Amino acid sequence: MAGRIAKELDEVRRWERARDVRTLDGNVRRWGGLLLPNNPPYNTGAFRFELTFSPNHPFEPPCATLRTPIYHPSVDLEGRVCQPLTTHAEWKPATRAIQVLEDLLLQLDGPDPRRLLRLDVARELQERPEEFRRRAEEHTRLHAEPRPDPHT
Amino acid sequence: MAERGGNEEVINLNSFSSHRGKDWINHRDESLITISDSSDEDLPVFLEMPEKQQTEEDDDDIVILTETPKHQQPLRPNVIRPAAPWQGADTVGEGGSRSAVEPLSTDLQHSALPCEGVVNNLMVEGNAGPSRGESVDVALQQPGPSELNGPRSELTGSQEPGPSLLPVIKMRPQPADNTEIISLENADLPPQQEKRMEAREWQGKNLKPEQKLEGIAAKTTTEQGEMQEKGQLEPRAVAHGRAPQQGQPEANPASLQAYGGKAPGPAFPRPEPQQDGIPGPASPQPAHPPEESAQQAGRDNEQPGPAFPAQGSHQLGSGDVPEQGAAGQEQDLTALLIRETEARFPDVKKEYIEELILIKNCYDLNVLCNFLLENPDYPKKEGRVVLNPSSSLLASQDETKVPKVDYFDFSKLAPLDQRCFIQAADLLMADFKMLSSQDIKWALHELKGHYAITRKAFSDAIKKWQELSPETSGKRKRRKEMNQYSYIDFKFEQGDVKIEKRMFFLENKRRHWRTYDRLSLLPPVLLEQEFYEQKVKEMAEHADFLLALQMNEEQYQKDGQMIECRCCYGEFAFEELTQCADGHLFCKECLIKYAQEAVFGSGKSELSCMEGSCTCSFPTSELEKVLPENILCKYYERKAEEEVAAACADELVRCPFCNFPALLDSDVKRFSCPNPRCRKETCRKCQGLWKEHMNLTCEQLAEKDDIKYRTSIEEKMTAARIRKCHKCGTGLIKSEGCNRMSCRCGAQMCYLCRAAINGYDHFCQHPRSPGAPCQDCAKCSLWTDPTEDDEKIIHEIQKEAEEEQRKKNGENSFKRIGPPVEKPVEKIQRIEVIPRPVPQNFHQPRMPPYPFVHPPFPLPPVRPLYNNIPLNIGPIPAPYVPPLPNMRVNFDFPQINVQLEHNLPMHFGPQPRHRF
Repeated sequence: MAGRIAKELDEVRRWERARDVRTLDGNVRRWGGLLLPNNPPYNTGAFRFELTFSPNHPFEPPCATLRTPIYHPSVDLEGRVCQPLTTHAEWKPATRAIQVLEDLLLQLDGPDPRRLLRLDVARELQERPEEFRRRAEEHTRLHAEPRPDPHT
Repeated sequence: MAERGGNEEVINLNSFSSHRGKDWINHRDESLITISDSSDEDLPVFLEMPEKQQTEEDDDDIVILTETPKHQQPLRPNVIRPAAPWQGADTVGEGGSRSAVEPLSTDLQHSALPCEGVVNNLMVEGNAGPSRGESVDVALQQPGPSELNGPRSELTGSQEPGPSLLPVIKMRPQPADNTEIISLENADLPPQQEKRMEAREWQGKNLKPEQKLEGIAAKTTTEQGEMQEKGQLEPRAVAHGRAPQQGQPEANPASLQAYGGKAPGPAFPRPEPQQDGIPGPASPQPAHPPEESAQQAGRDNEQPGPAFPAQGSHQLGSGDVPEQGAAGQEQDLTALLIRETEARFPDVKKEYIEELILIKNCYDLNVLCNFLLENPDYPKKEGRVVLNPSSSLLASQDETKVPKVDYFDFSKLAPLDQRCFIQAADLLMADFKMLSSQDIKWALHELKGHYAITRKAFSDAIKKWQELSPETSGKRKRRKEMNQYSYIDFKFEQGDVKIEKRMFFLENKRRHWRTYDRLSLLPPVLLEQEFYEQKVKEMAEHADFLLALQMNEEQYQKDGQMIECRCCYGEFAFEELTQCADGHLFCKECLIKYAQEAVFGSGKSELSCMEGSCTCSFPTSELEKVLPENILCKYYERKAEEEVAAACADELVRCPFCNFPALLDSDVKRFSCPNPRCRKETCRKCQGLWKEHMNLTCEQLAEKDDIKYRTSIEEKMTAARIRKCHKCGTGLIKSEGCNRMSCRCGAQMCYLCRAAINGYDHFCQHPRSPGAPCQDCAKCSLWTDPTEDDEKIIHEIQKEAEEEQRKKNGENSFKRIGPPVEKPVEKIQRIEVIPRPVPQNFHQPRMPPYPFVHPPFPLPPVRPLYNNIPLNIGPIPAPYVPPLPNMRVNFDFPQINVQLEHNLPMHFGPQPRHRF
């Protein structure tokens, strides 16, 4: 299935919401790259993601994690995100890597209240949105990678 | 003998007829007619002989009778009635019939009323009669019967044929004569043809015989007494007459109705007459005297007597004359036709085919088959399992009987004897004329004298030599020359056997060799030769097939028509693809892998389309076409099992020894394994043998055996960790993720309170501090560390059991219950809200799926990472995972490279959001 992964990699590389997508350690089953969220407070930085494919790909789901710390109610401290799309029960072989990344990006842009991993952050977002926003922006400024030039 | 008798009778007849001064012609006609009947009947001539004479006497009487037609009527019915039983008797055998006859006669008198109706029916039949030339006759005949009823005058009018009426009266006596004549004719086979000719001439007079019959009937009334005594045969005759009628085409239905019960009988008798052939017929005719018999006789003349042959003859225009020789031929033909038809339609009634042939007057197998195909509701044989001789069942058996020998498998070949060796060598020398006989014999000898395998080895070597030509550098590769300087490297390798030899070609082609024709070859050599040729052919076909595939693909490629598999993104020709019910195309390989993963991996029982947005599944037809057998079987098995489990989760019990599943009422504790090879009785709860269980509780039983006791406790501990799906009963374990657990069957449950849930509403949605209980509601928390709760329970069980054991055995013999103690478990305060892992697909060892045998022990600790750097929060407690209960499931997984880590049986995580 290396052919498929290569094709998917091409596809993701052409996607404007991601940058610098490449395989890690020369392993076509481990991808790294930058995600560019659209919405504040994260739209000032780029967040590194890692996408790991099962050796059985595409018959088993891949797994996406964030490698850049982010102050987000849906991303836990280890960078894991709740993605039903990539569970065994929901995964369909025809689901493409770009769809997984899109789902991840969507989650970053608009936290889904049903997929909360950090309840304290979520409560803060609900009860003291300004404070949350301030912290998140600060966090983004400190940890996120700089946005690449949109034209490159 | 029969012939003799016949001759004698003939003489009598002639004398008789002359006596009366009747027309010869009439007699002949009658005789002819009767003959037809006779042909049907096989009755012994001798017996009847005396009767005939009597009948002659009767004839005289008949004249009188004719005057009083009323009497005749009652006769008919009588005749008819008796016939039915008689027919039955006839079918059984002629000999038996006689005794039966007597009672009939009595019946005759009694049953007067029904007769009329019967007569009418008969008439109808006559009308229905298909025969062309005869049809006229039939019409004429009909009036005859009517006369019997009373309205003679009409009959006379109708019977214009003229000669009939008068003759009728005169003729009446004749029936007896007829019988005699018949016997004559029958007896004289050669003369028959002449008579036939006559018969044709006299066709117009056919009516007469009928009338005669009527007359006869009249006689019968008067003479019944005699008849009964002597003429037991008569009723039979009637029966015979009918039998043929029924057999006949359109008339049949009518006759059937008319005769009711008799109908079935007649069909059978038919074949007999055919077989009996010529001599028989004489006797039956005398029987005809009863009126009905007369009518029937009429018919008989036309239809039944000649029955099978008759129709043919009718077409020819020959008319009523029964040609026995021809009949024989036609009978053969019909028999053949019937046989052939039966071979194609094994369930069709034989009689029906016969009818068909007669009715349709068709002797074309195609027409018959077509008719049967178009009218599939033909009468079928009853209660008989129809086994098509060419059915696959039988075929397979046959095949298994003759095991095919693979002559290319060296290990299975036994050495052949010298003669075979010589022949094989000769054959090979003819096959390979450029190889020296020494080499050939050497190789043959090495290969135990087997022709096929040696030839193959030589062919391979030569092929290789041609391919590995060092002279490929040339512009056009010339066919390599075989000369004394070139050589082949003969090589044979199979298993441990390995022989090799360099063989130079001969300088010139061999000029002399011995040839064999097939017959002179020894059987083993011949077999091998055939085998080799067969194999070569098969290989060529296979090569062609591959080539065709390749060309097909190339063509697709050239046309840019290749289709992308939606799963592996490979390009395929359409033929290589399979599709879901909605038409999404995938390559076969992907479907196989997908099914493998779904069936053996995550244990899904539903093979839904691989396309994310498609809710269809793969149709069974596609699956059967594509999937290898083992996967398909497993898939079906899994599906069935799941359905059973879902249907009766509580009552399904599996034998702890053989895993045989059975339904058991939930209040029954003893499980008697229904598996005939097991038959063990066990306790449903503790799975201990029932005979040891007597008067003991499960715990007591377990205590008897220390190991068992420990196991039982440990199983309890395990059970505390296992959630059972409320729908299908599958055991679930949560290794990570949220508390909304979904089983592979689709059911969802809360991990904490074990309640069946649907979606996330069950859980508290309020944001709150980590670990702290919600202040707004008492709902379950979506994210908790499950191990904490479970461990508490488990520890309690463990402690309790250990205490108990300690009490019982004292400190010394204390044995730890549960898994060996791990390093002191230091519980760390959770720093942040680390709701345990979210749905993750890290390839950490996971719990194997449902059919686990032994779970991997403790889960690897999950180290909190931050930015890929482990947080320094000390060791993380390894969750305790006790061994699973003895859930031996008989899934012998075939060797498929499914990695256990991906076999998670359940899904933890929020419901999928609707995707865009």
